Amino acid sequence: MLSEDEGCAALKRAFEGRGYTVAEGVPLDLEGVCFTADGWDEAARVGFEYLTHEAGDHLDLKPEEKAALVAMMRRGELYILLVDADEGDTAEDLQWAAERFLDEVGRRRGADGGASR
Amino acid sequence: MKAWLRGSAVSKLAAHARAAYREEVSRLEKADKHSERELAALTSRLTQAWEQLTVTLMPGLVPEHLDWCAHLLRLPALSAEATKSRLWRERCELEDERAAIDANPVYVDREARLNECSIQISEYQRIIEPLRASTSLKKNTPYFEELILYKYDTPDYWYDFWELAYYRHWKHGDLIVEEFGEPHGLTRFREVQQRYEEELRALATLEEELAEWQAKEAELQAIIARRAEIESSLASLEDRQWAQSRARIFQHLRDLGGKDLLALISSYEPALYIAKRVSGIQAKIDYLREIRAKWVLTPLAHAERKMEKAARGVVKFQRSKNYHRSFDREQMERKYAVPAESWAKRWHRFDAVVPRLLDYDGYDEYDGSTIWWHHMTGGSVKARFIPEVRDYYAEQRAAKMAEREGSAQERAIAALAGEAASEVDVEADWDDMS
Repeated sequence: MLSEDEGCAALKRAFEGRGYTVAEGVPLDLEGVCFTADGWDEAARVGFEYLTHEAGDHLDLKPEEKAALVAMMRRGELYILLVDADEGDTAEDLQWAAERFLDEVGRRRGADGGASR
Repeated sequence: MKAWLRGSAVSKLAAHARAAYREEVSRLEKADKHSERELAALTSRLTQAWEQLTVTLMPGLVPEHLDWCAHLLRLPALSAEATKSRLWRERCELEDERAAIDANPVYVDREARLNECSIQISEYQRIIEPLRASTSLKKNTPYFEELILYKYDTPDYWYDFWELAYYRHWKHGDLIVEEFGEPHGLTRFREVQQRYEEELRALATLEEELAEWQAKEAELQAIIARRAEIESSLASLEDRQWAQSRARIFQHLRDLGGKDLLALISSYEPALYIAKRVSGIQAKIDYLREIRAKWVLTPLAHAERKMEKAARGVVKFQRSKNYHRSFDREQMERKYAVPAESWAKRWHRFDAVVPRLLDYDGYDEYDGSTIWWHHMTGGSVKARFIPEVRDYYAEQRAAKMAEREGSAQERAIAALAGEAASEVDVEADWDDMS
């Protein structure tokens, strides 16, 4: 199974490949939802959060906090890829998923999904 | 003055006792196994003797013989009339049932019906097999059931684009469409799912119809099997009735005691000899069981306990805190004394009586005037722990005492008349070694 570090590295590569500047382990306070994002581009307000039981993230991000994040994403204020680890996932799977995610972000922001908007 | 023994010497005493008990346990275990084997062999011989006795008393279902046997055994249920009535009743019941089956249209057309069932079942199985394979393959494909569960490719799909599961489902959904949809011109997961659900519905309907044909076939086979069973029952009617009658004789005679059995059959010489065998073997079994319990199993349990105690003593008195300590000699010697003399007496009795019992084969010589024990052993050992043996020898002794009291009175009269009197030891002949 892919470890959290390997997963985060694969996601970071995909984001950076699309021009994002990803900082690791960024503490965020978004409308009272406080957590440390595994990858975050402050300028583009795009990032990813790798959820594993190993790190206790599932416990940290309570259902109501997740609901608040989703509401912000629905309003287009930010986009965070929430990665719920699965045994079958490979680094390629994560990269492929990140590419599709960024495409959708781009589509929603009316651009090509890259960081240049 | 008290004498003392060091712990080291007590340990040796315990070791000696342990060795003696071990030897005794081993001898008792061998005797137990031997008794067990002999009991099994006797039980088998008893069964054979009973079989022989019932066949001798009732060699067949000949009316004259049945009446004679019923009279001899005082068992009216064995009479020719009663037996004939039972035979007739069973034959009627079987023939009625056979006639009902023969008139049943299902049985009349059985060949055609079976053929139809066979064709239909094959046809259903031919159609069902690929459907089962297809649905099973889809069901076992990774994520297939999960995608259906989360309503993938529908407006109600559970996940959104910011969740990784969304992309995982996307990937596997595409793989599933590629494998199961494209060969059939289907391009969406929902179409593959729809086809799968149609297959499941078709499969359920077909399996239900197949089950109906299989039930029809099973019903036919059951009727055919019952018809064959009736034929076989009719063919074996007399043999079975004969076996049942012999079983009835066995039950009737088994409940009688040995003496009553012999008395009942005494007028029929050929059966009397076998009845003596039955009675004698049964007595042997009963005696051997009692002997095994009293002279083998009880002493074995006792010797095992004492052996364990002695073994613990060996360890205890070898411990440094006891090794040089002094213990009361008399008490320790009593504690680890080995009852060799009492064992020897028991084995003497056992060896004197068990081989005689087991080797005994003169059943025909038994005339019923004594108990089997006395007849088989000659009364050399009187195992009074067996109730029958105790009662028998008590009666014998009382009779002898009464007889000798009478003689003593006569002698007293004779003494008065100047004759010399002699001492009589009434116990001499009744040495009880048990």
